Amino acid sequence: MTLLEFDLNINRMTQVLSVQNLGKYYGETKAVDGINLSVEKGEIFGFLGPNGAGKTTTIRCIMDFIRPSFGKIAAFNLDSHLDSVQIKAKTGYLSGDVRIYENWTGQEHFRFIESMRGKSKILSKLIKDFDFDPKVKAKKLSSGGKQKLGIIMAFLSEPEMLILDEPTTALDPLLQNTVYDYILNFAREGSTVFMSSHNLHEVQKICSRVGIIKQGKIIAEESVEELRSKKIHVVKATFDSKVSMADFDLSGVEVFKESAGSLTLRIKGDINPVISKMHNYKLKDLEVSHASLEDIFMAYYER
Amino acid sequence: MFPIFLRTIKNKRTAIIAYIVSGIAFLLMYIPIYPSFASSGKQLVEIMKNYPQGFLKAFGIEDIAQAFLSLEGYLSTEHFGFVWPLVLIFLALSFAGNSIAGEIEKGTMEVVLSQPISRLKIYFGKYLGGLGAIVLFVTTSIFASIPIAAIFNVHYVAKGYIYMTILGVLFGIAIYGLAMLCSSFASDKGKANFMTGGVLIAMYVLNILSGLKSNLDDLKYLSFFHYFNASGALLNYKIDSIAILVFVLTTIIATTLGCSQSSLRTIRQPPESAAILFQAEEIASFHSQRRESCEQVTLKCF
Repeated sequence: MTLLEFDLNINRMTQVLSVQNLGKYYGETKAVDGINLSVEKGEIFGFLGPNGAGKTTTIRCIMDFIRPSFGKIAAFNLDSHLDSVQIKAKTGYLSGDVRIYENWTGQEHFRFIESMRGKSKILSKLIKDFDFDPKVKAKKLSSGGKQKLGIIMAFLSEPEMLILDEPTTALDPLLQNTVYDYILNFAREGSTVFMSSHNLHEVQKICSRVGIIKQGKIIAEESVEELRSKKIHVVKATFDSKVSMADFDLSGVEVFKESAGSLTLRIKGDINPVISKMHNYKLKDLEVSHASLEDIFMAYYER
Repeated sequence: MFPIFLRTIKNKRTAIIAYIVSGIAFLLMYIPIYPSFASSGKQLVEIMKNYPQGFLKAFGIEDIAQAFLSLEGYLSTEHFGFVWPLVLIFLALSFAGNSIAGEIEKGTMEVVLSQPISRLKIYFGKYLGGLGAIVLFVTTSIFASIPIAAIFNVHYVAKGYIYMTILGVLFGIAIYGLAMLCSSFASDKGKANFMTGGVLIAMYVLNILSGLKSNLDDLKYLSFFHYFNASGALLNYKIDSIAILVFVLTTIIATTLGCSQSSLRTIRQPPESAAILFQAEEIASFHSQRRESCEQVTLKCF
């Protein structure tokens, strides 16, 4: 074990963010309904779910913008509401819908943040890496430009924890990679990242662990590797003759796509019963693959 | 707190300058024509004696005899008793509405809230920014009367303007405190201004009603406009101690409540994001229904 690996292991043992039985109700609507999750130091935690699943509400509770109906949130062993100022001193935040002062330039935004967080050591590098013009007024920026400004504002104090709500929205693939590089570097240096996303590709690429939220409840919290190792297969078969769909009406088997002579099945668990059934037909082509994270995500979502 | 205060002033510097310029412009409009009013002052006083008391009260005319016989009487009737408080109210509402509710509506409150600064300091940073603007407007728009009067060779008594400034500041901060309280409750600037505006209009109506019927006289005590006696300050160098108490107490109570509400309140997502979220939920629900119906059709086919 190298010294770096040892350090990483020690870091990983420290819990930075803990959400316990968090709930946020708006009248009858349960935006978040008793979720539990924890993120450890140096970890990049991906918070997955479609719009309206409760990701942003959870993040807004963590940031103490909204107060939970019940439950507890702690960061750096501090209470997210009572010790909000101390937590925010160590936290960089990017909103999912970046709103900035339209009449300020980027430079004015940076100065404002530096007046509260101290002079940034990496601001010029960030401006250069994100190809951002700080002299332009925010109202003249494109949505991508505003996103860049939001990202620089979140990163400039080199925080110990990053809370990012869909960080790569509106960015081109090159800049998305720059964001990934920064996130990975922050994590390597011991920062903790909690990011929401519905971009499975980016989650697969940079996150070490994911939590999947559905209708305000966490339905899975696993490492990306664990998720991918789930026994979910995608079988694409092309037949020489007509197929009876009843043959494939098996437990754990879902017809994903069906067209003339061809069938795509998503199989949870043992694939042997399906292969046995296929013996009854003459096959033209057969392709068996492990499910992508997207397929796994969809499988969770359709439970 | 200081960066928030500085930013509040800097963001609104154009508006502050515009308000101050308009305050001075009004004086430049009224003071040069005062000599012609003064020459026909006695006739005007005689005419105005026939007007109903409630009507005169609506225009801040307490003492008809004094209203046109001195610059201070004329200004308190024409400007400081009616137009000037309106400008001050607009300024207070504009600052307060934008400070809390306006920032929540635009979503920019998140930029401030995500920084290591308590909500208490954010509130007071913004509060002091607005307060500074009000004090600046009141001082300049009242004291500018002196050099303007001097330029146009109009006789003036400086003492009255000091009292008017004190009364103006007290009146301004009470309204601003009230407006900040409404802003800390409202979800957008429009609602905040509507709430404060509603209260002020109600106060204005109560003050007028109290002058129309003797049995409604006590209603005047519920109105800020009763305590804002411009002619008393400018002509008689007097500010009623009850008026001071009312304005100071309102400021303290409203500021304390506003500050507490601002610390406790939920900062919801800006309306546009919430609408997008709602649309997304609608789309998700539509797709889910569509998928179910497709599945049923598929099953029927087989």
